Amino acid sequence: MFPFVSFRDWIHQAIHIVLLKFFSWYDFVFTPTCTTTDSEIPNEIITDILLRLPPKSLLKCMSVSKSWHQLISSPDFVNTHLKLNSIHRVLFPGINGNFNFSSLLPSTVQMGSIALISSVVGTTNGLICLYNYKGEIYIWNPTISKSKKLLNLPWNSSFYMKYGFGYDESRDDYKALFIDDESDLTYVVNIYSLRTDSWKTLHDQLKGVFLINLPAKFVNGKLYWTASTSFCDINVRKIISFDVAAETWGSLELPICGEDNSNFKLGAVGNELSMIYTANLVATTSDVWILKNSGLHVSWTKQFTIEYPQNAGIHMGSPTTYPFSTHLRHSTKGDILLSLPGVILIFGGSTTKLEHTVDVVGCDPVEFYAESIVNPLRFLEKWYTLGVRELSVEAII
Amino acid sequence: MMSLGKLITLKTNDNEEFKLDKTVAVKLEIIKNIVQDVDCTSNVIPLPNIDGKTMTKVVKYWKKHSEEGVTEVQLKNFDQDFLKMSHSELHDVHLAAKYLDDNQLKEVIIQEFLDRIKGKPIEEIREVFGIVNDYTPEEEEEVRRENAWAFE
Repeated sequence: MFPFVSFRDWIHQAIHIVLLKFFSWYDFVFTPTCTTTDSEIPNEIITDILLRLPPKSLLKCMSVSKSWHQLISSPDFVNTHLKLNSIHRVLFPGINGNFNFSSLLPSTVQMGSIALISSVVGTTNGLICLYNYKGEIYIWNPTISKSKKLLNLPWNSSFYMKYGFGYDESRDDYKALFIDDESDLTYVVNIYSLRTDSWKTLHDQLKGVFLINLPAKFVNGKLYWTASTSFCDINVRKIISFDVAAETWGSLELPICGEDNSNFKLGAVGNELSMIYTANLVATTSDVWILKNSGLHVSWTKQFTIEYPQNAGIHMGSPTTYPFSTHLRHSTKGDILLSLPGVILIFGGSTTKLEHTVDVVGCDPVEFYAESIVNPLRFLEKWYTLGVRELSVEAII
Repeated sequence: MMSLGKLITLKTNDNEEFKLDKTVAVKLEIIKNIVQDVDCTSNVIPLPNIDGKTMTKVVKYWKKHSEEGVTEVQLKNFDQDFLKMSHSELHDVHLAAKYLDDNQLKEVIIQEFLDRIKGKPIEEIREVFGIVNDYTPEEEEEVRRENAWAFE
């Protein structure tokens, strides 16, 4: 649940930024009282209530008062809201490189068939990182209509470029990774940090590894790619991970060695990495494996087998292009989504039976994302430094 | 340990006493902990953060919700009636529920507040929470413009 103590601490800091301006408000918030009049409803209950509101209502509520604006834009509120609310939406490619959004369960989605100009680098916490053919990169929150254009990539991208977008919870920072061939089978890695608004370049990375999927799957602080030994090897040999906070690489063995190792797809079920393995292209079932992490020990567990509807066999043709599944937290059942060319399959979380089939022929979704009020424009170090300085003033007093 | 009397007395900060059946009272975490931890000879539990007027409402809610054979429909009607109170009274009950760690009651109150502000214009939301608009007209216009689409 909501960490009220730390939130209060934060409010303390925030108040010191504006110092005496809000003294009357400060008093009414922090004076413990159980008997109130209509003019004094403490912040605690307001926070409880506002946390339940959907993003659109929260944006509206920012114009209620300055203190509400401050509360709703505070990092603690934004991040807690994120954990409590998750309305999931599907992102579809639109005309001229635009995107369309849809709520998750449309019976049929009708849109023209179009070439996607921008590529999705990744999505996390309601933010979508986009990369277009001109080399421009954006971090965008479609829910609140805010986007930030990043500084240009300090590297000329190639056809083989791989990418990923993830969140460093320890620093409340978002990072975008662009990975490209360097020479002799090594990679050059460019890392952008939203907090520092700058790029960092690492050379000679990942010797003897070939990353397969273009966008990485971001799960629980790490970006994951399936990998083989060279670009002419289509068989998945292992999984390569990148810890977004520590900026270190790791590798994982596959759950099994199948008859055709090209049919592994990376996904996420809840907060756990999952792999969907289909034995061969004409198979009518896939096994869903989950990576269980118990402290030091990680192990794969075969969670369940999903059965495809009879006509879905035709969709199984491109094993590595659509490598994701997701877990819907807003549904108490924890449904599982699988996106295949032309169709979204929704399986019941507890029954693992197919519950809905959504036809998306001609406009395959590019990503699923959860709505949030994370504002990509509010991540400048300066803003935080101010808070820290004011806090030290408080400590001296 | 407390003596094994059947009734527990809750005493508010304005010295009002509420006698509750022990089986009802110990359903609440906080009361259960007090009953287990506090070594006292009387069965009186002080509630320093709650006044009698608020506690009357809370006890009314508890009694109805622990009534034997009460139906879903009856509870729904009761809740509807129970929630007909002023914003500030509602808030007092919320704080009491929070202090007593009664998540069910807390949820009911939060939901009622949400219903009271759902789809309402900003002015009415201010009224529900007794908030004085501290924006200048220019500032307010600016904030609204920034999030213009949310008002569509």
